[in-house]
Formats: sequence, C-alpha cells, structure tokens
Amino acid sequence: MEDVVLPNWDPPGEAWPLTFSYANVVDAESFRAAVGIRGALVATIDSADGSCWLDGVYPGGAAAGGASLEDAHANFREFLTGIIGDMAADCGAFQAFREWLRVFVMSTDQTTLDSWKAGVRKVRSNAPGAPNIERRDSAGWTPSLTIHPVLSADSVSLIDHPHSTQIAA
Amino acid sequence: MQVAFKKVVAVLEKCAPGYELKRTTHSIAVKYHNKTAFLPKGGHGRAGNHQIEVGHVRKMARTLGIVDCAQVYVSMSAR
Repeated sequence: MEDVVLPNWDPPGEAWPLTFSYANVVDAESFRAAVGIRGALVATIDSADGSCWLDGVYPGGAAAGGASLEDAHANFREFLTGIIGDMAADCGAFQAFREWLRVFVMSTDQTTLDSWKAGVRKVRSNAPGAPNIERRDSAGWTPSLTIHPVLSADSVSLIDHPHSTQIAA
Repeated sequence: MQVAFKKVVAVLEKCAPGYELKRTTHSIAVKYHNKTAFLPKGGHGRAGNHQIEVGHVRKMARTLGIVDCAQVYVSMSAR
C-alpha cells in the first residue's frame, strides 16, 4: 500500500455545534418500533460554496455531507434511517435491537465531542458566521433515545420527537 | 474528495487488525474493539469498489480510534 499523508483530511470551513431530533417507525420482520433520538452533530460549513459536512457526535458512528446544511442534514437522516433499518432487520428481536440502538446513539469519539464543545463556546461568545437556525441552550443537554414497540398504526402518533435542528449555545 | 473502498479496506488491514466488516442493505458496518462506524454503500446498494467520501473515512477512523495510523496510510484518490 502506498504511504501517503492525507491532504485535506479535515473538511474546509468552520465548525458549528448542532442538536437534532429524529423520529421514525422501524419495521422489522418480527417487530415494529417507534424510535426517537435527540442527538448532536458538528457541522463544518465551507463559506466559499455553502457546502456542509456533518460529523455525528451522538451517534458518533455516522456522518454525511451535502451542498448545504439542509442538504447534508437530509442526507444524514437518510443514512441514519438506512443504518437503523438494517440493524433492526439484523437484530431480529426487539430487545436486541433496543440494546444495539442504545449503544449506537450513546457512542461518541473524543475528537468530535471536543469540537462540538468548542463550537458551543464559540456560539456563546456570539462569534460571527453561525448558521441562521434556531438557537438552543445546551447547558445540561444530554443525548437521549426513546424506543417502544408499536402495536398498531395508531400508536405511531406517540412519537414525541419531531424532526428539528438547532444550533447549540 | 473520495477514496476507493478497496483503499479503505487496506487502511483497516493496516490500522485495525481484526476488524470486521458487515454489509447490510444500506450501509457497511465496520467494527473494531467494540466500536462500530458506518460507511455508505455505493450506488444501487452495491458494496464493491465504490468511492467513499473522505469525510466518512475520517469519521470512521475517529470512531474506531485509528486516526494517527489511518491519516498516514490512506492513499488519496481524488475523482
């Protein structure tokens, strides 16, 4: 294998901390589950063209990019939906899927977490250039997961995690 | 900036001995030392030698704790 030091290992642009909510109903062969996630992302936005790369903080095992913050977030949600659906099918039973999802959502890496925390300090200091989206006080914020089996189509309305994205302050 | 999937596998061979790859319908799960990162599959659900955004590789390396090794040994192939 060639030994080449990576150029452009980090995405161009400035990093900003986001929180997001995700909700979905997952259909597997042996169960149906309502899933709600409150997670965090680091958004690196290239001021030259507005393109954005999202690194998962919680869950830490996923990332996505796009031509804009909105585009990247849509791609991240799509990727997340694919991962969760795949693992629901793979786990087979609801209890195993719930445990897998808990570990997945709560897993992070220190580098991305540190970047998110640095971003929060930057937002709190009112640094210019932050994405113009809803601002959320992240003091005391923690990631969370809600998951429960869905027994009928009517139960889907129990999900209390509407899709949303905020900049963490 | 993208990296060929076979290069990602080569990085894992070098930097994450004992890693496991699991291909599912929409993604590829990479497991190493009880940590799991997910890479996207190629178009139309393929997982052959497709191209992967370098950001996914970087995040995978961070998640698996192999950044120092991966950053040296990834061979970039811009498309």
